[in-house]
Amino acid sequence: MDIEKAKIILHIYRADPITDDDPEVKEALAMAASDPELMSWFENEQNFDRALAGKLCSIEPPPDLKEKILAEMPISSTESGTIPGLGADVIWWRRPLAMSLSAAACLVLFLGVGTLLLRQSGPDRQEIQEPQTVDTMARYLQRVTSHTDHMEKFDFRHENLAQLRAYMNEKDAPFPVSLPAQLEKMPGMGCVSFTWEGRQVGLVCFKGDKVYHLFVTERDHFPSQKDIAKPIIRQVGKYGTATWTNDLQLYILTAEGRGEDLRRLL
Amino acid sequence: MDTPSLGRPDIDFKELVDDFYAPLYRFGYSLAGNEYDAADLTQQTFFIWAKKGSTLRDASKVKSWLFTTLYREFLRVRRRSIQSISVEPEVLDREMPPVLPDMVSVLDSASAVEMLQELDDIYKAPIILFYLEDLSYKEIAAALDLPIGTVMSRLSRGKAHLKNIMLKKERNKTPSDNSPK
Repeated sequence: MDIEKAKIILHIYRADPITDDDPEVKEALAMAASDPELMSWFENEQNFDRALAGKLCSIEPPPDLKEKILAEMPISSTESGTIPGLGADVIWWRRPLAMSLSAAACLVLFLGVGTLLLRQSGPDRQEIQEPQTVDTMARYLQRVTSHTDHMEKFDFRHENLAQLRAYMNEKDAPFPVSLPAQLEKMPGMGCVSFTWEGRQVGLVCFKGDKVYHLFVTERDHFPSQKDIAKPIIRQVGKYGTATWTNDLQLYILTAEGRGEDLRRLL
Repeated sequence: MDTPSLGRPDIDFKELVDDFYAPLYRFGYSLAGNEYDAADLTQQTFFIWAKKGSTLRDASKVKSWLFTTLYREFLRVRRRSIQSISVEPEVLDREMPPVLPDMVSVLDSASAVEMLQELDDIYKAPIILFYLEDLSYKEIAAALDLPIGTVMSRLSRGKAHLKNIMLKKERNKTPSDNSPK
């Protein structure tokens, strides 16, 4: 073995069952032990590796990460929702690719629908109401919302509501059968559909003085839910939400800001 | 307090999180280059474990399984950029650049991660796993689903690339960057 070959072998050496049992590595190490110049080179390599490893190993996770992992873990394997194209095993509310559109969706669905509707929809939903889970999720979603681009992940972008409606109808995805007059005057931004706990949900975003997100799903998905003729206004962290139903659909409107501010649109 | 049996019933979920959330986060941070994606990848990895961990037959491979899962999630999120790197670069510097331990020692962790982001993706994951020192060579190969020889080859080339990146940055420094502070 010549020095160049020894260097190639020792270049990425570290103590490991594979390298330690390798006769070539043993030979290269022996060569370094008897060649001061090679040994000096090898020590420099090892110092480089140690220094870089030290840098990476000193990366500290956020102090609350472990608690978040435990708190946000589904109690059952059926709590995840999916956005088409992201795969069925993905928690869509956590995915950066989907976060832009899912943040407000989750916030409302979990906090608005979660407390308003799921309370009445059977024991398999009860876990979602766990305050710690809800609070953790709300904080998380609010955090990611500020880091994402709302425009990026629409299924379809258009200002014209008729175009958005046509697109969603063609996909057989929920779209509002009726809109509050003030909302109807606003230009649209885009739309997307996804499933949440097996329920198909449509989301249409509007650009007014700020961005408004309107979620719509079939009324039949929540058979035990009483009608909500007069929108219920809630405040969920920095989001205001308004929830109402008609005979066919359930609506949740959300935007950053005071919940009471939504009343003027309804 | 007992935690729910998520994943395999013989592996305590909370203990699993205790043991691996930090190394997985470091791996995610080094791959993605930012804390938000790193936290997201880490959470997603444990979620997938909760759903699919029961399918892992050999409990001794849970560590590799978690790293593999995080890496696959990273690739899935970065699919577009990965697609553009479908061919392993053939032309590489044959001569190994000089080692620069002092240059590394003056870096902070974020700067080290920043330099890793400049590595070709094909080398990035093996190099990161090598320096995180959580996995053996064999486990790195398993985690990345690569033959051990390929891992060694990519480590060697990746390290050479990394040093070239550092040298280039060093050369581009202005004189004032090098002055004592």
